[in-house]
Amino acid sequence: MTRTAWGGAALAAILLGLAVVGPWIAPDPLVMDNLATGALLPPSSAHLLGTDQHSRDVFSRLAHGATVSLTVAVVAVLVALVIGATVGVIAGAGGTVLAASLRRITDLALALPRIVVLMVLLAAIGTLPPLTFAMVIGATGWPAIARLVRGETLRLRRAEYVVAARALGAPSPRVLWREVLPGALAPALVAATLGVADAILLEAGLSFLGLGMVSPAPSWGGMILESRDYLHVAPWLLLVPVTALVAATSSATLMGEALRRFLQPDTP
Amino acid sequence: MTGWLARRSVDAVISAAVAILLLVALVHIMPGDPLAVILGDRPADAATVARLRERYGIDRSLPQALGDFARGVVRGDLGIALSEQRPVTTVLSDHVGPTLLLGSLTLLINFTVGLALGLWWALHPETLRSRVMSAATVVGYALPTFAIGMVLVWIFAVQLGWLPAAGSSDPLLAADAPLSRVLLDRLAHLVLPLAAMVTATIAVPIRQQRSAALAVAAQPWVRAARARGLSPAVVAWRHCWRPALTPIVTLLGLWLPMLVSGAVLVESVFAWPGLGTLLAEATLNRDVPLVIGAGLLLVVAVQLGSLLADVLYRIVDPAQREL
Repeated sequence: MTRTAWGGAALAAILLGLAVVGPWIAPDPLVMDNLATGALLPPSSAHLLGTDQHSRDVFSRLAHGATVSLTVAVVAVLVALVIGATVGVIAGAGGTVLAASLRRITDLALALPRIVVLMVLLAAIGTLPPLTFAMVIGATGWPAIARLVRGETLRLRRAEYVVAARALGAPSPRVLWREVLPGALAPALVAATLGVADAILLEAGLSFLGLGMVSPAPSWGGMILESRDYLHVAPWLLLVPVTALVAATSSATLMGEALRRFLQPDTP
Repeated sequence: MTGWLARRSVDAVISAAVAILLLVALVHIMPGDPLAVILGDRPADAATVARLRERYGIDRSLPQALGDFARGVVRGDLGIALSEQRPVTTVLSDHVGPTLLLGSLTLLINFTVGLALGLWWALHPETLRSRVMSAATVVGYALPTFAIGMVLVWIFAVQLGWLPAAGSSDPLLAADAPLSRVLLDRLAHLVLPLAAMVTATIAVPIRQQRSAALAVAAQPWVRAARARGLSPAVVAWRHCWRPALTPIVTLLGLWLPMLVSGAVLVESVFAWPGLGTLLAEATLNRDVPLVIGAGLLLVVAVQLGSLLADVLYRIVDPAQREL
């Protein structure tokens, strides 16, 4: 592993620690313990990262926000991976009509900006509970993965070991599942790791627009949105969640790049 | 070329039509009652409700809804925006200009400064500055546009007070202010949104141009040019750059979706009066006709972009023309 990969892994470990342990050790993010004098306090030993306009502890909100952001991102990517891999394999190996129409649908979906599709959906339904929200984000992320898996499937169908398996009389579904899919998943795994960054950004961006996780539920995007009116007196309200967000997306990007070099050494 | 262009154009139109009809269908089958948005908390008797359902076409079946929408598009009618009670087309055309301005300037900077940086990076592989560039572009890939925007506002508008934090012009500027003042004011409002857009997107052209140029630099004709004693600058410009442009053209086609996503968030940060801010507000208001109208515009723009990229591709790469 290279130094950058270790850097990415270390960042991820810190953030995961924050997401898993943080909510246990940090005070309740909804507690407003001292509305009269406790609001907008700068970082101190009592409040490591200061307090916000409602005298809530910023570290608690950051930790609980980490749980929400990372869970949403991971669930979204898993959904995208499952749908994308299924569609990709069928588009690569299915019958002519089915494969061609799946390929067309994938290309169409790729041409639609994800955030626009999500906004159209959110406009129609209204805000969603976290897990549903995560799945909807994932449901817009599959086309990129489907395209990669389709390409690999087309390539692997002609590979010697697949032809050998077929010649030995293995039924097609078994050949696809046991021989083709594992090989075709390598680029999809790279794309999925990089996709964690996209999912984190989509969740944070939509929450920032007031469309994702809605206050008082803690989320990084929501914290950035709320910091707007207090920039001149309490810049830590902005800088703390922005740092966490940049750390999370950089970590996913660095690990994705490292995974790419490991799984596909011959691509630049 | 013309035959190919005709086929490709028909393809683009069909793709755009299918994509937007998919969006309309998706909204139609989603749960959620549009009447709740229109009425809010106001009480309404059965007759009013029935009239509203009729007016906004709420009880239509899916094929009916799709058909009505398609007929409307052909007539240039996208319905009435719920929140503003004006035709969607009017609302949209009010907001196109600022988005085009921001988007085209971002594109211009990315494809001049970005490509130059990428080429420079490819030609100076193992220096300290190139390692800094490598780290910077990885982080740049992952930088959230709206977070950059907010940090820029904090530094340059709140802390230093150099630039305005929001809007596209100063509402307090006198109507008879001299042209130079007006232009300066517009420019000052443009700097921060543009900086946020460029910071968030320039990493892609830099990295693409670098890997393309590196691939070309390994070609025999480049070694031959060097062996003939040509200066590095001539080799870079005459022998490396043009073939290294081909993958960049592909990037142009993928570019519009990225710009759109960036624009939605950046415009909202800076209250820039463009389509992105409009889309965000319309979504918050659950104004479905307006959101679909903005979606239609974006889908058409994306298809146009990819069509343009394909045409350019054939111009830049002669080998493509025979296909």
